[in-house]
Amino acid sequence: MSKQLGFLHNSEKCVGCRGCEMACKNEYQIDAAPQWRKVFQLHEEDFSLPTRMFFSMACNHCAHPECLRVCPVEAYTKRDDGIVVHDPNRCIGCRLCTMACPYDRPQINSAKKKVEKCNLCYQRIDNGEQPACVAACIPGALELVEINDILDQKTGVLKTLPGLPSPKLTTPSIRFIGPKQGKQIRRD
Amino acid sequence: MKFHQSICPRNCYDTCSIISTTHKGVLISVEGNPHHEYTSGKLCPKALDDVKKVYSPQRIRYPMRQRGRYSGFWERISWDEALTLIAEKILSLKETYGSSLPLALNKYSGNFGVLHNAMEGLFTGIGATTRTVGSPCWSAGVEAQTYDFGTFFCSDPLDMAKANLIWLWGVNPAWTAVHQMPIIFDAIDGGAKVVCFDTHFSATAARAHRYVQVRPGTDGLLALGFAKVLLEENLIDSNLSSYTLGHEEFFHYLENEISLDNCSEITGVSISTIRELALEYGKTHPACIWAGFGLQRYTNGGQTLRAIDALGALAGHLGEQGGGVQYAQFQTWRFSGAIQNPAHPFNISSNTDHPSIDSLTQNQKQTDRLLNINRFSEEALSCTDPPVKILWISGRNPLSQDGNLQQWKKLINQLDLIVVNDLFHSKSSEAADLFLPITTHYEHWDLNAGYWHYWVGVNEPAILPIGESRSDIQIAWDVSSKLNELEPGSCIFPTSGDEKETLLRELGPQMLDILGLKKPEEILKAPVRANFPSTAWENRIFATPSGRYEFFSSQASNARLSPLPIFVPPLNPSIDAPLRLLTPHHYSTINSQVYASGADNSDYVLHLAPELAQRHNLAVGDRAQIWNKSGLLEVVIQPLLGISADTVIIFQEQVEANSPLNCLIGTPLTDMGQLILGAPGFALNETFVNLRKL
Amino acid sequence: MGDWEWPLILFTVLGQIAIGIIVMLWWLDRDRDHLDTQLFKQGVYVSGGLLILALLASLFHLGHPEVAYRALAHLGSSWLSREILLFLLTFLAWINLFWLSRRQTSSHPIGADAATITTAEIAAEGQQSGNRSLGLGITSVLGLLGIASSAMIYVLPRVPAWNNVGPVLFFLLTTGLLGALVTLVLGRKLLHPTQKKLLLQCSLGCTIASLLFYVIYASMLSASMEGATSLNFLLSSPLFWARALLGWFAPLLLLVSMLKNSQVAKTNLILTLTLFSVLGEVLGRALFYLSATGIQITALF
Repeated sequence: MSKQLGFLHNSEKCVGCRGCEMACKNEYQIDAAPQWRKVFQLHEEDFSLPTRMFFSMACNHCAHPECLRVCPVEAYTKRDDGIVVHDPNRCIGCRLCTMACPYDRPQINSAKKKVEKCNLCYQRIDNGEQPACVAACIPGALELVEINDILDQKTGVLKTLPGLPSPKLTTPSIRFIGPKQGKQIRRD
Repeated sequence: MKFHQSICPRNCYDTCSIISTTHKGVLISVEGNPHHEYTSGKLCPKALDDVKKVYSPQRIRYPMRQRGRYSGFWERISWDEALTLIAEKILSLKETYGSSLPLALNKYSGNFGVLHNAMEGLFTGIGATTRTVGSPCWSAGVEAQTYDFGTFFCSDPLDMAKANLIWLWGVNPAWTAVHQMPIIFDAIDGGAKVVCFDTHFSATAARAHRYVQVRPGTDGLLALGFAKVLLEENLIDSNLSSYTLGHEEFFHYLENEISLDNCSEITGVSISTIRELALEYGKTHPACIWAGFGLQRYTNGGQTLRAIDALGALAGHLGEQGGGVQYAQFQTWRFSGAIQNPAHPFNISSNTDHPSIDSLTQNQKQTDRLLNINRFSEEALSCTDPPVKILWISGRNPLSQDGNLQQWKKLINQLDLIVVNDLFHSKSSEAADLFLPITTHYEHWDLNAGYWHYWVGVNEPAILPIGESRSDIQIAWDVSSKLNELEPGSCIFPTSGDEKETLLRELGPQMLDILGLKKPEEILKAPVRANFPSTAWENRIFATPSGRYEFFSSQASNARLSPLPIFVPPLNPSIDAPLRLLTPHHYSTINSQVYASGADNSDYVLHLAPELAQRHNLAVGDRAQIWNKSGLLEVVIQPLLGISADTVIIFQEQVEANSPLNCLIGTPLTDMGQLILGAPGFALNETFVNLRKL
Repeated sequence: MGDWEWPLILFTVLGQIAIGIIVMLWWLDRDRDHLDTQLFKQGVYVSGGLLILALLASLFHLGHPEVAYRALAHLGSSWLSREILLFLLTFLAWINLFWLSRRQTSSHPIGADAATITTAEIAAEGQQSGNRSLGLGITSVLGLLGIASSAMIYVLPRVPAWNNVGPVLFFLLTTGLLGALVTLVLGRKLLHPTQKKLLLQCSLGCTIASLLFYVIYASMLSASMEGATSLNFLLSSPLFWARALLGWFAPLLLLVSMLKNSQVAKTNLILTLTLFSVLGEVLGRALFYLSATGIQITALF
């Protein structure tokens, strides 16, 4: 593998609008479920002040993808750029990957009886375009990046957020710019 | 694959330019137009759901008649049957009452496209009818800004990126104008500081440097408090006398009537915070205030906006690049209006000799019976000579958004015919007799302008109409055609036409000038930005009678309002209903317009302070009731930090419940709106409820 | 929290009984002539029937059973692929057993006249018996490896309740317990009392081990948040207590009293005991799937 593509999510800029979720659905016209990408709100209790902070998560194209390991039909492959691609043509719907992924990102499509997930719009990337979610992110909170030491050494770049499974499980290819808190003058 | 230009017609700040993609006549994808500087290639989740919305199985595809209102027993009928039913009813009422006034139109912003004004044109074509005036949205603020500036006008939203200080006051762009967020982030990246004033801690407030929680309805007093500090600290623009009117009187009011102690006590903001913020606002240039619509949905809403305008003027922020007090604008909407005011064809004029078009429309405007849109049911019920007998609801869902539902029930009982044209069934169509299926903006021509940015553009059809749906203008032509077929000369609205030609006629000389176009056809190429300067009032020449910014407004005085911006307290909670209920927009909806594939919630979620929840022994997920003399609503409890204990919040989410949220709402009116929009606005935020655990 | 995975419950439990029977036959056959030919035949047939049922049941778990063969494609890292391969090999080995059982014509009732047997016959029989033992051995080993692979499928880092030695241990204990009991049922008329006692002792050992390991396993679970969720679910589920009663306490009482009072031959008791244990194991397996709580995103939706 020559590199590892992944996402950089800025929780300060993400306003939780769900544009990325819907851009993904618009691109592939997938049904209401499964959700390849999903916006989560962080627990308010995990911070000292109210936060209204969000993160957006699709497949994390992990360095050690559990889905790929457990899949009996080799429906998953990891490309040279690190994208974990799921081939629905090979999938037999055993759902083992849905049990193995700590992020619940491969999901069964109950109509097709096959698993689906984000393939990082590799066809767009191969055309030199951004993934649909990144291209659609209005506040510019979601970026496509190369996950490497240079990125990890930047200040403010986090490997995980409260409420997320330990990155040790699968080494996900996502990084975060964590929420900052402003001053709050409240009456409550 | 083919690409088409579309424009999102929702009543939203952003009015996005869309590129829609079709394949073999099927809409397959929508994307933001990358060449539109405000949309900048990106769409919000509501628009991104459009493909599913267009092809939704829930969409109504044929004209339907309901056997018994609220029965849900709808049967498909043909267009001819539907049109005959409507036309015959109109003609028989005209005969019975000798007037077309029993025919009422209740229309607003379900689709802001200009061709939708065909409904007004149709009604004008029939004769003097009963209409709505005013707006449920922005009336008080519009009038306030008109007193101050002469008209309401805002800077190009991109101008905000140049600010060094941004005050987001009662606005939550993260949920309601998401394209403004990258502009605000640009300003932050450039070193600007952002302060957010709101009744509750919003997703926008969370991204501001400072959040200030203001007691609902007291923002005007807070602005006056800031103004007083500016005055005390001598941070007043030294050129005020050259471009404003009445600043001395205003100083006098501040000195004598405003005390910071009082201000702090009423607004809930400490004196030290007021001082600190005022100093920062006075010393930082450029500094921009964005005043949201929620601010003015109080009985004192107009005064609040006037006070905020005055604060901006005092500090000298008006007309400065990246500064100003931004609210909204309507200057890019100067369409010819030919569609609403159909020309009277000479051949059917009977008892007048070639009346000029102007005098005829003038004549009809005078004879139309105008009802305040915010008190429609009450005012329609009080019409007796003649009574309202037909109601046509278009681009609205009043039974889900209006106050005073009991009066609505009475009105519905009195009506002979209720017609709704819409995409989906709604609370309002439950009461209707006829449902006419309309096209989405992917199926018809239209012309759209924004009320925040300066862009105007054409929406071209991308696909053929779904089912038998027809555009509003087609329906208007068809009704006119049927009326004239049954009784020649009974409607002067055109009986047929071409959508594209009609929209091009809306670009009259004034609009072409604003858009810098030579011929109307030029707009077909791409959306055009009006050639206004980016900064509103940059020359500090105002549209007021004096040509100055008017702290002291004789127009206000003539309207029996205080000539100066003053603080008038909002309504107070009572013992019976001690909690103020706020119902702000949710990110997933615009009023009752929702995602086609939205989550099916069966409960309204009541957000409240943990302290208040505790006081009522309520925990997350508990069921409770809120009620007042208007109605009662069952809710699920969600305690949330960032809401004060005197306020509860239900966001306007899509909820499938028997009782609609507006059952709790009366029809309190704002202090302003009458002069400019013909009726005062809707003081929606003056709603109070009681709470008990179930 | 997991789901009711009927196809997986049936596949694993039936498969484990099938292989358990073969293992028991192999164990009983460890000394020549101890395994009755009739019982061998019956055991092989029943085991094969169960194995086929189990494999059929597993297909129902798939969204697309028609292309189930593809599951063999990822032996490199997928325990599911390995499981399928080993089960298919077990099935091949079983076909060999089936073939052997068809060829085993003579049977020697206990206490038959030795004088009538010729040396050639003895030699042939020795050969047959040797093949049989080898066949049973190979089938057993493949089957046990298959079961271990089955269990390894669930050893997922994401699921703390499964990410340990537990699945392998419990699957093998089920194999031993139910294999012994079903063999006992099949051979209730054909087994020596000592053999019956052996099988009962094996069952007792498996049951005690299962209970003991479960207690240790449960105390391990509380170490992680997700494990604790699984544990809470279990302890508050009536199913769990039914499982404990049927699968542990009732069989323990019965087994101890049967062994103590030498009531090893009582058919009714054997049948009751087997029924309880099978139900207990089926419930236990259902709970295994139901109680699985994966590490997941716990932020608000």
